[in-house]
Amino acid sequence: MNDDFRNVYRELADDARNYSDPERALAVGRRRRRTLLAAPALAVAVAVVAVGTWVTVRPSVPTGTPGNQATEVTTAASSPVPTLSPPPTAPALPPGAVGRASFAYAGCRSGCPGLAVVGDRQFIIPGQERNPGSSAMLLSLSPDGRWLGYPAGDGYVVRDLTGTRTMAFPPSESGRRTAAWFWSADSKRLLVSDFREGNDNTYTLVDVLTGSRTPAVMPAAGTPLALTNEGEIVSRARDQQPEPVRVLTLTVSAIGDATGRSVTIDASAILAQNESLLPGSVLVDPDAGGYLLGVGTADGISTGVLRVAADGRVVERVVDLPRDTRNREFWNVLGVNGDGLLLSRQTNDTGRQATTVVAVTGKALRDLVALPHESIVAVPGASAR
Amino acid sequence: MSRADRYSGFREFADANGAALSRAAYLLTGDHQAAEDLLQEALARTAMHWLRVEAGGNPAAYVRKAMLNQMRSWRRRRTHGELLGGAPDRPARGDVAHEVAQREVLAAALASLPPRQRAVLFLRYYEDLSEVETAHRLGCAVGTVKRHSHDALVTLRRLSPGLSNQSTTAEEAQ
Repeated sequence: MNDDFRNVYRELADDARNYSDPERALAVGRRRRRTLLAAPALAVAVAVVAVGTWVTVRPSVPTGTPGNQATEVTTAASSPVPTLSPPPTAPALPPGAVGRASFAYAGCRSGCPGLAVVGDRQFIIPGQERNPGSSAMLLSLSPDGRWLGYPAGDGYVVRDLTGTRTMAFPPSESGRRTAAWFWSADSKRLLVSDFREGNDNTYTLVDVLTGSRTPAVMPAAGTPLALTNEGEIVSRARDQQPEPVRVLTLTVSAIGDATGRSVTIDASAILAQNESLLPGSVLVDPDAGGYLLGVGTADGISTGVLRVAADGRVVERVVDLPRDTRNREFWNVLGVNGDGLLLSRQTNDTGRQATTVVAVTGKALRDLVALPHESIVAVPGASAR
Repeated sequence: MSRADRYSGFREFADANGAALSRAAYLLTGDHQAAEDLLQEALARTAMHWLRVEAGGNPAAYVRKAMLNQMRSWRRRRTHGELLGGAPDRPARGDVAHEVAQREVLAAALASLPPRQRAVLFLRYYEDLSEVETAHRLGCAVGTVKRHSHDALVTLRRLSPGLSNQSTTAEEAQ
């Protein structure tokens, strides 16, 4: 054996930097997946001349199952959709009151600064010198748009956009980071995570009005998914329900309760054959006290949203998302705030590339604002997507 | 919105294993930029098939294999000529500056090797695989592994005089 060389060779490894950027890898992976999906459709589309811009879309998901009364999604050409892009020079977010933000975004997946949109003004969000891509993914806005959360070094800052209050969340030790995980729908509570990459996250429940912080005990091996107004954590047992799932068991637990109560959502009857639940898209329904739950294909393409009662009973399909037969549009569930459910639609057509924030009103979809393609968007009440 | 989506496990994996995978990428390339390209490419491929990879139970092995496959498909980026004359004088033992300089030279020499030779060195001297295991991993004959290993060490010795001649000679004799 060649121990001398082995030693020198291994020492050389110490010179390596950390080249891992999971967000960039995910963005590339998504683009490639979409390209793969779109390729067969493009071959057909060559022979097709598309006519008309605004259409009534009949969802492709089969209807007629219980609680799924023929959802009709309509988009109307009532007015042009406002577009928004990062200004060449945006001011830094100043200290003090600026007003509630309507949303925050970064204009690309990697390397673009986060911007807070307040009225018709845009402010650069500070603290993103380190890895702007993943920093943008950690942006967070309270449902009422008052509190903005953003990374600051390895720690995290939540500041009041209507005043001067600022809360800092330093990591518990070197090598860990902190970030806002979930807001309660009433904007009064926030779950902050202290994490290092792995499964040893710890959580703190924050009362943003009083500033009090309470360590949150999670059910064993649970992944938190949402936070209720009562400060209960909605979680899902990790590793027990591999995707795709059509029956999802949630655990709802009070702070300090390591057990909680189980809520089983059996969506088998309402899902189409190729659909499954998207456990990463669980939202607490602020109107009904239950949950809103995204559904999609095995490839993770969102196809709709279900409304689920607090006891786990599936109430209805809130919306069926138009499925572009050419696979040039993809949807994400962004969040829910006082105006209702908010989605994003990423359009990949050449010349029309954009990420559009879409509101769900009744059964209708309404485009709110078009952002640059592959923007990362944080709407009130949700972390960035 | 929950970040605990279908890719939360991927993020956790990449963050937890990023440093180790970066070391592997650097040894496979000898160049920071190339290492970043290599690792990011492997991570993007992993992300595309994350659920399947995760179900397989060893994502790190998948990424390392993806890097090896990717690297073997890349063309050589440098020629030996870029390195000639780069070796510093050999100062006293224990001189930190010397050690750093030596590693820089070694890295540059490593980067000059054909991808196959770098892959063999990585598997033999970092992952401690036997020649048979290395051959199996690379899908080649044991004799090919021996030849690549020999050629690589000879080249490294020539381009990086700081390496022990005795040790590389021992490898040649195998």
